[in-house]
Amino acid sequence: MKTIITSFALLVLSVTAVRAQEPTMEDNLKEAVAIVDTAKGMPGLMTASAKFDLIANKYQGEWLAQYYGAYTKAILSYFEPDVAKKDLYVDEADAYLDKITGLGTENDHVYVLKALVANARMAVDGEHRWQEYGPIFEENLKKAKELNENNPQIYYLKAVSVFYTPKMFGGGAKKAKPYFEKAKEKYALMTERTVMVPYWGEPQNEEYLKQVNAD
Amino acid sequence: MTKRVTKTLFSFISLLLLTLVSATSFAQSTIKGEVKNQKGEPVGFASVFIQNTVDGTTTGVDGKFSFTTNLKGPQTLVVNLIGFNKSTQSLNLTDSVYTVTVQLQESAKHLEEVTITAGTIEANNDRSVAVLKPLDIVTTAGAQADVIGAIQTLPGVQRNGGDQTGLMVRGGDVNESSVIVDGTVTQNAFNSSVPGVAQRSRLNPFAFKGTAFSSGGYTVRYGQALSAVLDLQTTDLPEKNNMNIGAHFAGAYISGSKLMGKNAVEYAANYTNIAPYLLVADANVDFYDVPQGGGISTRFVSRTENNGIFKMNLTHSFNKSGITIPDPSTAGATFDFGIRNENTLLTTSYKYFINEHTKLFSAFSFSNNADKISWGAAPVYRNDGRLQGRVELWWETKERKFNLLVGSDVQRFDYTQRFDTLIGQFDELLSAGYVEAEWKPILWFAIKPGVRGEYSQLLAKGNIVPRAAFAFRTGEASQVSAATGVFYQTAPINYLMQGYRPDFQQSIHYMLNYQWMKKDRTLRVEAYYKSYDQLVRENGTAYTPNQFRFDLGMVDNSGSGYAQGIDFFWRDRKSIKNFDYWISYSYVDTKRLYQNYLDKVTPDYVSDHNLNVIAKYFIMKWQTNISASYNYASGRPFYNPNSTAFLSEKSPDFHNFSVTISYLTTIRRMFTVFYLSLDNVTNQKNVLGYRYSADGTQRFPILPPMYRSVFLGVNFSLTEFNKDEL
Repeated sequence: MKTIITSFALLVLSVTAVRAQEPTMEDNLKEAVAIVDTAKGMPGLMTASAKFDLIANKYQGEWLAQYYGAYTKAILSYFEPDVAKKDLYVDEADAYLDKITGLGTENDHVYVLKALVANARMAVDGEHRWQEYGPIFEENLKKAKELNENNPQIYYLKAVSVFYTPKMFGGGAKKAKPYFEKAKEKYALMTERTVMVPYWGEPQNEEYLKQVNAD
Repeated sequence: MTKRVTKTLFSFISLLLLTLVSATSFAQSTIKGEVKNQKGEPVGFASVFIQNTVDGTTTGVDGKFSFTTNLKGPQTLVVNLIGFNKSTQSLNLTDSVYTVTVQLQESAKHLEEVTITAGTIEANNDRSVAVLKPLDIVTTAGAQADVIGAIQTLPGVQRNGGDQTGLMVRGGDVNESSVIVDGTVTQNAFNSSVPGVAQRSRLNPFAFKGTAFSSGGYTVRYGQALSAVLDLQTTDLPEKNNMNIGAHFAGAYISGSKLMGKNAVEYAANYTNIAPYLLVADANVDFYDVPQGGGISTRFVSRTENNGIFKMNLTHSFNKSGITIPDPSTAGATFDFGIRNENTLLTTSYKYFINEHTKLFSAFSFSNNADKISWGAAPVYRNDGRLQGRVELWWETKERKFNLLVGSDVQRFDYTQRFDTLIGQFDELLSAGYVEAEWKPILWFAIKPGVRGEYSQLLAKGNIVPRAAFAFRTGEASQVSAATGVFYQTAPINYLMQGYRPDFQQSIHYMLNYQWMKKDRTLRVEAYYKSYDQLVRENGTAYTPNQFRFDLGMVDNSGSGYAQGIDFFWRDRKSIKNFDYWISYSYVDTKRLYQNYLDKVTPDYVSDHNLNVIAKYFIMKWQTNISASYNYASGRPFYNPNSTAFLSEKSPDFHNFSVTISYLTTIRRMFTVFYLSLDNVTNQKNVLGYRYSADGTQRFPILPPMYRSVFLGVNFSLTEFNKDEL
């Protein structure tokens, strides 16, 4: 009997061991998001992005896997100094967006992501592209808001966009402040931080708020 | 027994599982190595992974990588990085250490496709070559917010001292260039000409989204211009409802647009009166009837299925003025020139995508222009009209390596002039057909051959001309382009109106262009040679420098000439933040024997050297844009009857320094711009040439209509704002 128990215990252990060898998508995402959260500039982001690519490739049917793929590519495009490459990153982000569309996923996160990607595309050549991508950015934020007005990223993205709009065109720190505050309010409503619900933006929002208040 | 069996079984299973587990967890393969580019340099941040798994890593800055995997058997190792082609290789994993060296090839996608640039300076939405966008045009000092004024700062264009109406390109006179809007020729692109006083164009800079200025070797889509074509595209659907109100030293205007889903209606009205402008300008001509005018226009734009677009524009304008100007027929004398002009223009265009790779374009335009002139005591009546249609089909292959354009345009135009009792009249029907192909067999090479056939009913003659352009990419940011072609144009209207029917005039262009473009810095150098043949010539009359002469003698096509030169353009918007400057320099060597010329000489409108330096600086803190421009043109030849050689003397050099300051702000949600322009700040007393009295004893300077002038204005634009997002 003792042997049976021992064997059984061993069996359970080994099964667990096998399970441990096979992390879930969430585990994978967590690991990669952790890299993004601590990343300082390009190298960390590139590493995370490579990981997200692998996850997205493995979990083709999961919109969230594609989501993070697109998200990091968009962020990378902001950091990339080479203008020609910036567009290539946004192209990759767009390819992920197409996959999400193919999966038929429609939620506030997807629209926020679309707004972010449009903004990244615009930022490559703001002077010549704001007319085309500005409205796409706004449109997607609007749709996100219709689906979930408590998504803080809507206000965060809008705030950043207003922040970088020149003062004479009705932008600037002062005009952006209420949006950052609104985003803060909404971030506070988020009770848990799980990779299964994209939560990026809060520390940056805090940073901007500090800057805006200092002005 | 059963117990034992069970026990043994359990032990066996456990053991089996344990072995399995240990096999997976402890028998690993290590894959390590290095990623390099074609030059053998390490490639950092490349992603290295086993296909369809999450096993992988990224390379360090030294290009090195290492990771472990529990996978076994045949696998595919993928190395990937933006800007490079994906590399794959097979590995058969059997629990050991693998060292791999991967060489990545830079992807062709990173290189921009070659585009044909010889002759054409293009500015559309995404390519910032030598972009002259609306804001560029209105903020260019010295351009007087005129499209043509801004075009004059580009290389190859002759600086107009202020006495000629039109665009003079590479040795060509004002008759040799054509202005195209949405595919049809704008017959009255400029306000009606006044002798010796340059007129503004009727083109509103804010109406256009794209400008393609071709200083030669242009596409077979157009003809009837020996020198150049300015091809403009009007804006598409406005983004939002908006309204613009403005006032300046020469009048006031209002414009706006109303967006209704995929359709929009736009409207504009203006009143001009240059009295305030004249008050502070240092004018050399006397206005006895201050120029006044008004115009209304309306436009309908509709976005159709498959991204097609339909545009229709109707404009009507009225202008009148009275000026005392130097008499072109008698040097030293002045006379009163009064003009009342009415102009109507209707244009429509429709672009329709039959499918992703096939496009149908059609355009139609109608214009009517009437001038009532009092030439001293004599009344002159001028009327001209034009009807034009164009249809073209464009098709490209799926890989977009080859495309073909087939089209046709038909233009009917007529001119009538009555000077006292003299009546001049003609009408012409020009029909043309054209085919043009563009082939990019490889990323770094493009070829664009074309043929245009044209038939003139007036001359009962036709011609078929070949044209071709090539481009080679020579580096990541540079390319070499070449263009050639044959161009025909009928004689200027003053000959046709008097009943002369000389043959087509001809010009052949050869041009070689080098362009380097990187990160908002552009360098263009273009060398060209043009030959002119069959130019119109008057025989059997004495020479007079009067452009408005009536006695043209016997007219034939015995004229000829050439123009050769080099154009240089440099624009840099990158080096200093918020600072944009461009330098254009042109050298032209041209001679021609045409019209009433006595000899093959450099024509009297040509300056051999033209230099423009334009700088714009935006001071963020003050929300102020400062633009300054300096224009230099070497002296132009003028006619001195006492001189032994024809047109051998030259006027002094032309200098002009202008400044425009604009202040941008938001007043109660209205985007507001205040602007102040000072043209010829230093009040340089330019002399454009001299005219001699009939006996040659007295000489009179030809002066620009204005020396220093001041222009002040404000523009408010109100865009429908989003309801508060908060």
